[in-house]
Amino acid sequence: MPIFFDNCRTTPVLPEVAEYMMPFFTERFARPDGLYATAQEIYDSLTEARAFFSSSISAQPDEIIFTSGATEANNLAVLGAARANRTNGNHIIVSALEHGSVIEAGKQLKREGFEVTTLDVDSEGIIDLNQLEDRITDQTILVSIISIGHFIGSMMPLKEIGAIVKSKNLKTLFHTDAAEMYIKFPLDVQQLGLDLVSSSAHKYHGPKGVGFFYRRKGVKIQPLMFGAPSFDRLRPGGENVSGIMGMRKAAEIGFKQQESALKHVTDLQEYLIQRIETEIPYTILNGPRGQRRSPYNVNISFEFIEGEAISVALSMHGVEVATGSACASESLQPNYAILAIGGDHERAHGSIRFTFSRGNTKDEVDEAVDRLAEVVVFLRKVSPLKPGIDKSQFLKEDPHHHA
Amino acid sequence: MLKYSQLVMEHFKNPRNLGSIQQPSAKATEGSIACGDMMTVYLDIQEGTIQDIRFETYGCAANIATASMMTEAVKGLSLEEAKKVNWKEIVERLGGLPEIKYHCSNLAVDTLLKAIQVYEKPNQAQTSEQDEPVSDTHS
Repeated sequence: MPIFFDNCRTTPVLPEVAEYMMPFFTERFARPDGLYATAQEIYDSLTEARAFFSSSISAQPDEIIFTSGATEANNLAVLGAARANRTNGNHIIVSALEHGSVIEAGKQLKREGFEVTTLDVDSEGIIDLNQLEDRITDQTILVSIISIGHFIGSMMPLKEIGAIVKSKNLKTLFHTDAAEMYIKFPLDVQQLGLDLVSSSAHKYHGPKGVGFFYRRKGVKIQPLMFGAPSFDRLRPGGENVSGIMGMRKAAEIGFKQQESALKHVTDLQEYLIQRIETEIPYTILNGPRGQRRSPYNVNISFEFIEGEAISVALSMHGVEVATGSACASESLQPNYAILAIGGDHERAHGSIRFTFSRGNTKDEVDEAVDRLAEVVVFLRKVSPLKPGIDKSQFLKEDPHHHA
Repeated sequence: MLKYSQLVMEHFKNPRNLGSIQQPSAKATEGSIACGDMMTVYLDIQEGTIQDIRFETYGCAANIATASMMTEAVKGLSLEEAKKVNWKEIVERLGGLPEIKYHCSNLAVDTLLKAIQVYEKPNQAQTSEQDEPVSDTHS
């Protein structure tokens, strides 16, 4: 098995989670609305799961809606909330570090005539609270701020944001995409003043294609899909029973290990950063250090070389990571988070993201850094860019990409 | 992840003709750090023939592999022959590339042509408009 350091993209399903799901495919396959005993059992299981998830964030059971994951929940939060609350205004606010599902939903709202404000982030990837306060008007329906910048690990001050939102406009809804936060950190919707939350099971060793959406009671959301009533009224269609039950199991295990996992990945993070910074010259840590950074994330740019080549070379050596290079993206655009924190294109192209799960080990970090050091030496030998070179002569946009 | 052919991976791991030439007959650098790929080609030209060619490049795996393959393709060719080499030929010789990476092979050929131009018309090379190879494969 390769060493997997891309756990912010997804995580392996725990064997005990997969095992727990199995009967829900073959024996306990009923839907919760049948008028027979097996259906009632499923209804009870889903009801229990809903109660579990609601209590995990200090919410009420009827405030939890099962979805296909955080992308659907983010669309419900952004499109659903804005469309249903148009009588309150025509404005929403997001941050520059949102997940694509929030950014693209925001673009759709613009096409529908809404106004969308994108808040800047500072050099560590944190929004400016004064700017937030400034931009909330009597027209603002929704403020949607990601819990943790998924590329650079910056932890947004959700509690302060929640307080500002409500002090400026009581009708403004506060949503967070908590895909990177839920299970890994405590999340209390009452303490943080959250009206809407998105999460996704495959970020915490559950199955793909399932998540939950928290909607505070009384908040109007327009459905994205229409159909016959089902377990979740906001979301028709056959319930993903096995997925929900797998998510339930993964969450239970994750919560039990939340504290020990945080301590473990903090050690891995410190060790990885320390080894890279002492052993590999010409690096830049992207995002904050210390308390403002998620211990699950390390993001480092390597000068003079390009991240797609680094990650392909690392993969050949059995180490799997992510990069913010344009060459690794379908759009051929450099990573927007690095640009948002003031980085230039070279820093984005040369960025490598390592994201941990609690299953990673110190030996894996050692192996990864050993291989990384070799790869960086090799690619720097290949590169015409060397320490001390005047890079300014090579910064023009070249037409071969853009013809 | 993009799927690269075995030959692309081989050239990426072991690039041919890597490095520089101390006193080249000509050299050229094309591309840009901003775009994420930039290549320098060094030529040693004897009696109208590419005696030796070396490259250094900043870019992705496909960029490195196409540079390596380009140097293999033109080493020993006359300048007139070398000018006929096009990006499609480089891609074919590598056993194909993901479509989104075709522009990498453009850069390898562009840089070669630019170096030849520097050799043939050293005064014009700095100022003349380069004929860009068609980039219709990629928008």
